[in-house]
Amino acid sequence: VTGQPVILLIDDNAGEKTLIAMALELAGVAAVVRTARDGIMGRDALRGMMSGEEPWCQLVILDLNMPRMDGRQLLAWVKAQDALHNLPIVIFTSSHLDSDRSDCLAAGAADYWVKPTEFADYQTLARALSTYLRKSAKAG
Amino acid sequence: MTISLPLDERERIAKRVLIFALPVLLAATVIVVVSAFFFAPERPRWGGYIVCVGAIVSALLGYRGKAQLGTACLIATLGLAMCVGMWVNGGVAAPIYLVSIPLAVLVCTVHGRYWTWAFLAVIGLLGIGCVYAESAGWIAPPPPFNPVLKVIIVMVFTAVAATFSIIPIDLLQRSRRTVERSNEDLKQFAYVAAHDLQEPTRMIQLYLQLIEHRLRGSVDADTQEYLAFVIVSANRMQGMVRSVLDFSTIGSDQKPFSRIDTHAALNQALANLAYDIRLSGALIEVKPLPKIVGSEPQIVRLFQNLVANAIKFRSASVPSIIISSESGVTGTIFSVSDNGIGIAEGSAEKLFGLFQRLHAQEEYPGEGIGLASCRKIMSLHDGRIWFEANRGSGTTFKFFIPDRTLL
Repeated sequence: VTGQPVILLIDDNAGEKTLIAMALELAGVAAVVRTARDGIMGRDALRGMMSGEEPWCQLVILDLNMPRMDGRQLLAWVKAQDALHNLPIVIFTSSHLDSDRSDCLAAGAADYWVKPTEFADYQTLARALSTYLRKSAKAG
Repeated sequence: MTISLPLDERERIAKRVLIFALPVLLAATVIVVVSAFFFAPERPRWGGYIVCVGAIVSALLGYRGKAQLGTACLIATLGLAMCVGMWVNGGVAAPIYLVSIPLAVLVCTVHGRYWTWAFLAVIGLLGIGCVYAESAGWIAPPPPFNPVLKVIIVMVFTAVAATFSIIPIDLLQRSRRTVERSNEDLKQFAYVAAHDLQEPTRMIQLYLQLIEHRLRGSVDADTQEYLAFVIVSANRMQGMVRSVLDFSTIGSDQKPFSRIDTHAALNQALANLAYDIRLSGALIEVKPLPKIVGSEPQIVRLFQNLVANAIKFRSASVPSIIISSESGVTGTIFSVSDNGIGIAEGSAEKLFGLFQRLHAQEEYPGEGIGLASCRKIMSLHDGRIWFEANRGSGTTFKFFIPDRTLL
């Protein structure tokens, strides 16, 4: 509505939103970050989008380990929805496991990022996100 | 081609073989003992005693508290010892020696030690030699066996075999399960604690970076200094958490041991350290290294930690590192020798502990996890690691990896 692309951040860690929003701002990427605190709330937000109750988002950043419904389950659910076919999902997790990475990419995640410990790396992430936003905008 | 199976798989197969073989062996024992008791002449032979006692000793040597499997081996060997002893005393030795061969192979396969094999072979040969020497009249036979004593011995053997076969299997298994479970719990605890600490530590680190950025230039020198301390500590905490995580994941991949080329493993380790080696100008000499049975990623890591230490703790002179090996009867001793600063006397105890450091963080940064990892890798290989001070300067780290057979 405001014209700015929307990023849906699904993560139970409340500190993550500020870091990502600040990194986007510093990287000059105009975007609104909305949050959902676990898989269930993330799924509800996406359902709301599909039914037109909530504004559409252009990108999902998804944590893997969350209470109630974890990121793997939510990823599988998203990939089963035709209406969300073009929505890129970027996995953002503290898991270094190669198996998690390959499983998520095989399940249809657009990218896999291990959560960094340096703020500079958040800015790299923000720049990567902007390319997804552009692609997503082009795809309509 | 080498077929390698995980240890528990080997144990499972051996167990299945033994479950089948045990009743047969026990039945054979009963038949042979009874027939020997009734039909064999009363004249005993030295060869019989030797094989009898030797088989029991070898079973005890191979036993090593390996719960059900060891118990089963013990019973089987006891049964065989009785058979062989009685038969040899009865004068019909040869066919029974043939029976002992598959058992010896089984024991050796299960325990992966060929000296059990060798021991049984020596006992067997000695027994046959004695039987031959006696029948040729070179040595006098032992005094005649008291029939009452014979009955007592048979009864004691049978009682011991029965006790081992019925009661302790379950008890031993249960106690082993308890130990395994508490070990597993502890491993899980370390992993989970480190894993879950990662997130809050990371948040502290990141938000400190933001705070520092925001406050830069607007606070006094003291506050700036305090903040710097907090940041350094948060970074160290993150490093330690990461190290515990790394340490607790060693050996958790459950990959079976295979025949590996230690030379290739060392080359991989050196490739991983290429930057440090170039930067320090270290001279590295590699002597011929053998193939062993083990875990390749673990051996790579072991070499990598030792060589990295040799470079890190270098003296004023150009680091010179020699990697060599020496194969013995039961395994191989590998050496990684350097000309570095050496290790202060009396710190051997501390050296291989987790988070143990002999130097200040500012002097030599690190978490104190490298040698603890090496020790863990060695214990997963049933090996041992230690160090010796070089004459002149420097240290030689040595580790021993026992030979092992693959089923």
